[in-house]
Amino acid sequence: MSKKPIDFPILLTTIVLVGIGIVMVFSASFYYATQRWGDSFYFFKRQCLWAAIGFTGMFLASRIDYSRLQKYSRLFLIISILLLVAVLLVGQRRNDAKRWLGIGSFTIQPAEVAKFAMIFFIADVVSRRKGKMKYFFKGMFPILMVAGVVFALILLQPNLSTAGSIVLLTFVMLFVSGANLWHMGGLLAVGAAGAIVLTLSKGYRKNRLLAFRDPWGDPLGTGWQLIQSLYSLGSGGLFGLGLAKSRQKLLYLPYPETDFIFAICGEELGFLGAIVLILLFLILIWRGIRVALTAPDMFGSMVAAGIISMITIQVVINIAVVTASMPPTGLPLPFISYGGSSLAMFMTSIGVLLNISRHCNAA
Amino acid sequence: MSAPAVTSRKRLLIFLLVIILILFALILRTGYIQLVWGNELQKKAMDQWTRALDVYPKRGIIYDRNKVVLAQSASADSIAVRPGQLEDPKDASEKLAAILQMDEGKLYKKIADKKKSEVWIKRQLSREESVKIRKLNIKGVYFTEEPKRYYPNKDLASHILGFTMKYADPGEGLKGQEGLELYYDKYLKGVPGRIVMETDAKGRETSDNVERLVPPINGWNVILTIDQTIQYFTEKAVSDAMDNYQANKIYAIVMDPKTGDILAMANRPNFDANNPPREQGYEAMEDYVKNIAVKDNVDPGSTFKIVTAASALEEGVVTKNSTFFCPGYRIVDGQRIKCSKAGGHGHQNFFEVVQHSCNPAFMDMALGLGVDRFYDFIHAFGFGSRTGVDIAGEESGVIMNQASVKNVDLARMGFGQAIAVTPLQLINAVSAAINGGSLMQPRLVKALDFDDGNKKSYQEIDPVKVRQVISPETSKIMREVLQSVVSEGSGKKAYIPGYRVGGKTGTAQKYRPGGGIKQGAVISSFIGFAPADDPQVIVLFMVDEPKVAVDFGSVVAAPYVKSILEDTLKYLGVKPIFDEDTKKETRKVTVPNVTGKSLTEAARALHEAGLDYLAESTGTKVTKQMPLPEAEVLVDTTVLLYTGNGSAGGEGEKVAVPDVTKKSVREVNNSLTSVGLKLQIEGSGISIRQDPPADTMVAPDTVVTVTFEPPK
Repeated sequence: MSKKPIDFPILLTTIVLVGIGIVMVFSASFYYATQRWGDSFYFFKRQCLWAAIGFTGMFLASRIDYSRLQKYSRLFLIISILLLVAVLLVGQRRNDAKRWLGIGSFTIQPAEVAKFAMIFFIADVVSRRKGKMKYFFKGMFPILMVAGVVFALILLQPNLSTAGSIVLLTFVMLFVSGANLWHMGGLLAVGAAGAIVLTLSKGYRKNRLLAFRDPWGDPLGTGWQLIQSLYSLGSGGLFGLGLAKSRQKLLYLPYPETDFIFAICGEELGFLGAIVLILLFLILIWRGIRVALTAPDMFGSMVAAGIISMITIQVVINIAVVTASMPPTGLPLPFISYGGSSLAMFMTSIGVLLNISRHCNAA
Repeated sequence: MSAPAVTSRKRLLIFLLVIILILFALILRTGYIQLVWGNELQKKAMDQWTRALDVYPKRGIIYDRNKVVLAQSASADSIAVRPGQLEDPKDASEKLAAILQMDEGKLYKKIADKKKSEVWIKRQLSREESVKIRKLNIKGVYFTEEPKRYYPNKDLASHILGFTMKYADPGEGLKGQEGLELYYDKYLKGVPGRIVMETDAKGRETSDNVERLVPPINGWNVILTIDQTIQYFTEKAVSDAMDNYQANKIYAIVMDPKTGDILAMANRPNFDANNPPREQGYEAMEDYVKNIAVKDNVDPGSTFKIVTAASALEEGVVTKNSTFFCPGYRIVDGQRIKCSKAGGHGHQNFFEVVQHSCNPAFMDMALGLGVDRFYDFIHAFGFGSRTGVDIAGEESGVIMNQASVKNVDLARMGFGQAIAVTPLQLINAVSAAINGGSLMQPRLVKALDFDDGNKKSYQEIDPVKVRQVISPETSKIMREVLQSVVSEGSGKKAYIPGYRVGGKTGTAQKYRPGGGIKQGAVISSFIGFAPADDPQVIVLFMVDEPKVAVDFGSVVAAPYVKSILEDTLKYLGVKPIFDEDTKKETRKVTVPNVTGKSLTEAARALHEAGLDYLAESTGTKVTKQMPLPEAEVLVDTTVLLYTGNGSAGGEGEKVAVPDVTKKSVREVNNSLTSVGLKLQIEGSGISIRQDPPADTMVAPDTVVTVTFEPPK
């Protein structure tokens, strides 16, 4: 296989997005960081460090032939499942959830790792069962079993949003793999039923759902962050208040540097800035799907599709939450939101995508 | 390995298409929020970003007519805590509680409540408290300057000045609650300014915080017609009278009769404007803070005869040369209405009628005018409507419905019964009667003054003439007549050597709630003015239920009018004139020997000598006199006559029982005691029967049993 150049637009878009992310994390976080840690660069420094780790990962991944990764898929999955079990036993507890493994402030979220393990696992299974995917038991069943286990482990933390995003990822990958549309319909029905049950099972989830429909119904309670998010966006107007000029980050908007960073972007950079950001993601998604379309083999195609699906799912959900278009749930905006392991994993996966692009047939 | 299946490619493209659609939908949604909904959201967001602090304007000063300060503002610190910023609430509450003498536990609960962004700890600290707390320099403790109102003269003129609300909401500054503070609130209060600053969600100012200051506009100063010195004279007189009489209430008003300027106004009970009696609740507080001089409707009594006389003169019903005959009563509509003097005043001229305050003569005048004409004058003199003085909640008096007035009512009105007026209405009407005939609008404020250093403005308020009520000629006669009351008649106790003083006494009966006459209770009043030929000051003094044996206005109120008038005339620099008119009153006379004479003889002898008398006890024969005979005293000195409990008259001398039916208990008592008889009361109301009957000759001290029934 001849070595071709990587897909340059993907690299460029990623670098631009990470750059924007670092700037926006700094802008969104410095007030809180000053108040909380007495160090306005607290989040900025960490985001830079993780970006550096991410670039290293991206570079290395882009140099390793992706097909050599296929044989580690199951090992990767087993490790990530072990990590998910470990986090339930010895994980750090924050906000009533055990999601972090690590020492001190250097932590990773095993769920983030699990997302990518799932991508490789599904791609591996699909490529080896090529043509059988339209059958339920011979095709998608083992994937569903594994996805169920991972989903359950993450749900136990609890972390419904990440668990849910893995379900969506699995669904998209199965769809792309050529699964029977009736089966897909059935999965959709089961998934929807499950979502309703899970939502209603916990009071806070139900409250969030209600708050999404009418944030002003409980402006100081569950409606608070949605209202604050809307205030941010609304204050931005067309051109924004200007970089670093957000007022909502003055402790009004919760999580301005992570889950709600898109609102700060909208407030400081305006609607134009928001459009640019969404279009950058669109470019990335388009180029990523192009890689999946032109990948030389099924494994490569499925890995590319999985990676780009993961990014897409998080982008869509994050922006939908920030714009109060769906019930609030905590998923970071890829490349932009503060969050070390997530950033590093996404960048590394872009490295994989870049590597696959080297092997692509000219479109 | 092989290339992805065709199905996968198709599905990837479908996926891309769906994502493009979703992302465009999200762009539209974002655009809607940012561009369409944006204005509304931004406005709401702005509210939460900014904290507006009110900057209090300086409330205007209230000055007397000579620019002496009567009310002014100073600022006092108030203290608030922002719980979110406290580092150690326990420590802070200990320190603050010690200085402010507050309950530490309660304070801790208050300031440890992180849910509150700001809590008030104490309003209007003392200077020492404020300094001590500032020294502690606790983070999260904030001071706000709040204005406080000071009345340097405490209870002086407190009814006029009123007071401000104790604690208006923070941000409102001082707010008038009573008196001028309320009436002129919109001028005094000014316009608050604002400091708008941006804060974070915990209420902290941000470092690059943009502050906008809208400066406050100070209030207008109010310059009163009140003269602090005259007010002081008046307060002193009122206090003395209160001490002497333990009265229910006392009203005193001093005016410039020509302009309607109120120079002083004092009532009892009163209060300290710095510390209004709020503790007992609103109702109880009203008893003290109500400006009764304009808010009470009272029976005027004989002082109202000035109005009757002026009206009758103006209409030509009487002239200054008219003569009257008083048999001691007048029968109107079949009712026998009695004169104050049993047996009557006999033949009198117009001047004597006023001097004697002879009821039948005034009934004649009222009846001569008739209902329509008399009512026209009553209204023209300002009764039945508010004077328009700058006091909120002014009463307008009570006048019978004109259509239902019978002759008997008209006759009673003629001498000041069957009508209720406010003290201010009365003095204002009398002012019109003596000032040349102009009814003025009484007023407390003569000018408004604005000065904030840059802009100055001074607005003089002109006196307002309401209408011409009587001609200047009639008014001149009234001045002469009323001067004669003081020089010759019932008002002698208001005489001031060297000054021409005019005046009129009044003694009005009081009514119980429900209608009947309240026995033994009167409102004794005197209205006096000087100089009588060119009045500059007029004084009304009314004592409600003086606890004294002799409760006539001439005795109870006149001396205080005299004291206020004399002090005021001298203060205003009105020079005494010792001419024919005034000098004769300063001459010395010799006290005649009246011991052993009957009371009537004694009274005549003393009157001829130019002396006054006061009969002690109820006998008919003088047993002792003070001063003793042959003493050289000032004219009008009161000679005390002791009548020895009537035993001196017990030499077989019999007296005729007077007719005491259809009278009040007080009237009956007066009639009987004046002839040396005693009263036993049965029932209450108006007398219907008596035993022994009228004209029976009985021994002095005989008990006359009189049966009373409530009037129907």
